[in-house]
Amino acid sequence: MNGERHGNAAAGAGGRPTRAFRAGVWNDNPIAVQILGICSALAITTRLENSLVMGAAVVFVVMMSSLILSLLRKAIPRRIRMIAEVAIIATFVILVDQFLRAYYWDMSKRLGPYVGLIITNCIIMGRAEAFALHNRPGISVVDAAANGLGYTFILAIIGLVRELGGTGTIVFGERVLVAIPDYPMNLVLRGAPGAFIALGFLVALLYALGLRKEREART
Amino acid sequence: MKGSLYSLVFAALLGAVCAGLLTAARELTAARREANAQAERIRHVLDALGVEHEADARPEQLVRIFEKDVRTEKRGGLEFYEYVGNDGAVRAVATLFAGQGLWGPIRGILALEPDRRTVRRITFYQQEETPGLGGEIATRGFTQQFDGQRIVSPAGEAGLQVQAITGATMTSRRVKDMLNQVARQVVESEAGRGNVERGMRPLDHARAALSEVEGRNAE
Repeated sequence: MNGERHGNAAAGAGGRPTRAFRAGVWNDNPIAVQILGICSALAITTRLENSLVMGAAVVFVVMMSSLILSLLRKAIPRRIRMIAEVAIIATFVILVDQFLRAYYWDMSKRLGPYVGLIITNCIIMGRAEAFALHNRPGISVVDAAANGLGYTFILAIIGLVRELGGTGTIVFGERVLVAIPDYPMNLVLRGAPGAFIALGFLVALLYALGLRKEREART
Repeated sequence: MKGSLYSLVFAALLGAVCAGLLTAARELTAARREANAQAERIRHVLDALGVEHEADARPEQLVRIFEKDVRTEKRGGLEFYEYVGNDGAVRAVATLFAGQGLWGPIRGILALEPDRRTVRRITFYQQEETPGLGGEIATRGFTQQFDGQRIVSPAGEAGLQVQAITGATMTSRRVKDMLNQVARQVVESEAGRGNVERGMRPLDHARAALSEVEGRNAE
């Protein structure tokens, strides 16, 4: 999924913040519409808490890298712009990784290599290439935040479905929020196939809720 | 030519800034990350030895339990951890082992009964083998075959019997090699008893335990 480019990514709405925000979260949702960054969406969504932490990490990285790249957009030499993008993205990802290792050790272990792999998450480089390098910092940050939140909200739904459907519980840290008594463990939902199935149904549901209609109306 | 020079300078500056940030973050979190990693190792050793501790014990608590109940000694290139009960008798002995797996390093703990010949339990706490195949070595289903095995065969040869995992011949072979090696090292470590380097001699330990008891009585 690395470095994948997508027509829709380039079509990101410039101009008004509300429009950019709506595009990132809904109309051009990175996962549901562009089907970007789904490696991590499938891998770490076994629990709602994992999804939210991963989402927060992506929101932070995409906002910070879009901000810096947008500020530097006139200074970055065109020929080495991709290297510059990766260097900046990688710096923020490693910062997040170190932070989790120091202050959120259990989560860091659960997310495993997927925090480091945010570097190759095409949503982030996609926003840099398609938006931040051509727009002012303010709107770039809005666009980045919207895409990060769009990613997070899909992950959270998949995480919720898989945790509740897989084990019958919702656990945050040490606190058990929901526990269905005598729930039989569902290995399909807990495993990777469950993530595929949940994502497929979720995308279908979002389209049924009018995602596609709005997209067609727009184009 | 002018463009190239600019690109070079830009890349160098960007690289320097990113490296500086990462170095600072690394330095700032070093102590906490190290404490977490240390606690992780201690937790594995305590689990292998069967020392009771709370599942969500903080790193400092684990270190305290470790220092109270476990005696460390270096012998013949291995570091042994002895679980000493309140009565001063050794209840279990453990040592760490490591080796190259198929995709990355495999690390584990060999816990022995006080006779240092009978396996109490073997755990693999770090491995990157193929999930579902070689990765099964981390499961209890695989490791329980070692419970109660002798590390020396009736013919006097050091080594363990390994029931290979179907479809994971390479991993199984490597695991067998590393277990045989650690078994040999354990046996050899006793042959050269002169070469013992103890973190604490039994007498010191007894004295320390005594003074601790006295300290408690005085309170």
